[in-house]
Amino acid sequence: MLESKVAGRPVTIAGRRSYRRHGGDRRAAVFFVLPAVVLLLALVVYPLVNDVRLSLAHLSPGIDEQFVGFTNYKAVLSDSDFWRSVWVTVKYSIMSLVIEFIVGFGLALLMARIVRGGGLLRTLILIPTMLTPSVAAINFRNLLNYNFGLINYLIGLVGIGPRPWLASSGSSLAALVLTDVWRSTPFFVLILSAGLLALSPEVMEATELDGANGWQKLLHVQIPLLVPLILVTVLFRVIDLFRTFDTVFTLTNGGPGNATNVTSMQIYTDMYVGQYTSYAATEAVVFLLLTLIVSGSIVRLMRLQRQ
Amino acid sequence: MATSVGISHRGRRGRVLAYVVVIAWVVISLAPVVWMLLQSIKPPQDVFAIPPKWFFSATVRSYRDLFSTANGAHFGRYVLTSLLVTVATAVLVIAVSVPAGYALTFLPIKRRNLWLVLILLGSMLPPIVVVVPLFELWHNLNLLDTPTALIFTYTAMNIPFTIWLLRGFMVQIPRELYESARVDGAGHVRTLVAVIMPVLRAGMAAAAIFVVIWGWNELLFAVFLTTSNRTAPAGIVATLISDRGINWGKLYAAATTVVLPIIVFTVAVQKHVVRGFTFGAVKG
Repeated sequence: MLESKVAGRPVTIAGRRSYRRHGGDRRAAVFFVLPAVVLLLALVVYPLVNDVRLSLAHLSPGIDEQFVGFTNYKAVLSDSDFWRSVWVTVKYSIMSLVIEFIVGFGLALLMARIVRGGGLLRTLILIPTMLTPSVAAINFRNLLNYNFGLINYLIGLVGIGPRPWLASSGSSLAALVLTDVWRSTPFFVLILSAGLLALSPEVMEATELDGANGWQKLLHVQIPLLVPLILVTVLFRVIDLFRTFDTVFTLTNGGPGNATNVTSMQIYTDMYVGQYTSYAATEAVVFLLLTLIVSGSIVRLMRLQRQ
Repeated sequence: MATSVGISHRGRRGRVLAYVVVIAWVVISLAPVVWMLLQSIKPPQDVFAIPPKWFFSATVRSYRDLFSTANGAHFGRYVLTSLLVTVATAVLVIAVSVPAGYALTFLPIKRRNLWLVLILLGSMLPPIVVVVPLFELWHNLNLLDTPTALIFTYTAMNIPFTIWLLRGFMVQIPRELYESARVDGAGHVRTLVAVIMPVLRAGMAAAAIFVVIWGWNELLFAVFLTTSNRTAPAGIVATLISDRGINWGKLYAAATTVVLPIIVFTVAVQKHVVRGFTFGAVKG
């Protein structure tokens, strides 16, 4: 009897405790996520709601807020300047992405052959990714300056005349793309290097024994196996490319004309320079939706690919 | 035997090629950075000499000009503000995201997947979209042009990605570790602090590093939300390049002041950065 009491007791306590603990777990969960949720509600969700409110109102300096329905949306959706900025963003993103992927994959394949000094080289490769984009872009702007830029001086040494790098629309977009290639290729190198390392050596050996040459191995084995990783990397980069602001702001300021006027820059100009608050808010909402559609499609692609 | 010699020969040539190309990339990609550093220690009159002066007597004059407060300039203060904002943001983000990540990994939460998707969406937000409403918000709170506004804004912007990254690390932790701590009667706070956090150090380091770099480099919010309590990048953009007569030496000194700490920091913590990059991607 004594025994059963002793043996019985812990069972009931444990039972009750685990029951109570479960309710406690939920309460603890709320308590643990609360600070993050409060901050996000106040500083992300509330501003977004405000954007939507502004986009449905007419608001410019000196005029009281007034509900105007979808008037602003109609205006933005038929605004050729806005769509041109979207087009510039898409062009800039695709060109950067393609070059970064090819160069990054090439460097990752080469890094896989390097044993001695690999760590040091990886650190050095990484540096441009970490540097302040606006400051790096200011430096590039000076390097590309028509009169006293180092680039025009260097090409002058081999007999090529000075070029207006940032004053012609084609080359200013190219300069913007190259600035991003310089900055973001390391991201691809690092992730693809890790991916290549993780491929099973047996599979690689088997393909070599099958007599596949380097290109066949790359196209039929390595790239297909790395597709999931490539898609995630592309997702990260697309999100980042779509919101590019600092580099454009300091390198070209959107110009010449609007050759490099990406959507972030367009919104900035409308709200800061033009003070069209409602209009800029509408552009912001449309831009956010476009971003979500693009990244949503990539996420969907990842899901399809996984099945 | 002949083939094996052939392969190793090809392998060696391949390796030489690999070194040549990778080193060429490193040299070319770091050349603009080295140029920036050199410009900052040239005598000011030589900064834009063409042909460039490759040999010059190094001087810190540009730095002295930059940090002198004689003309009401405040670059030193901007750097301190940057430092304060960056460190405070990193501490806050980690303090808020670690418990949230813990709850999302170990605790029962209804519609966990919905929350995770929302967090992922949050990390995709283009900052330009919330700039105007945030300007109004801080204006209404009378906190415009304060480090506080920047710290909290930066914190909110970094929480989604940080939670996501930390969760990637946390799902790798064996659940038994959590369960045994709980069976031993540890409360959640104790389980988190004494059991989970010690094995989460690499993840927290990677997350903190990303936030530090993000905060130190940030420009858009700093330009919008501050007018005198500027951060260093905003200070450069607002005071050094929009001036009529640009003092290039000073500009390069400022650029170097912003960039050099990042280079040192990157070299010091590169292992964590690489792990964070790959983890963030692989776990996605």
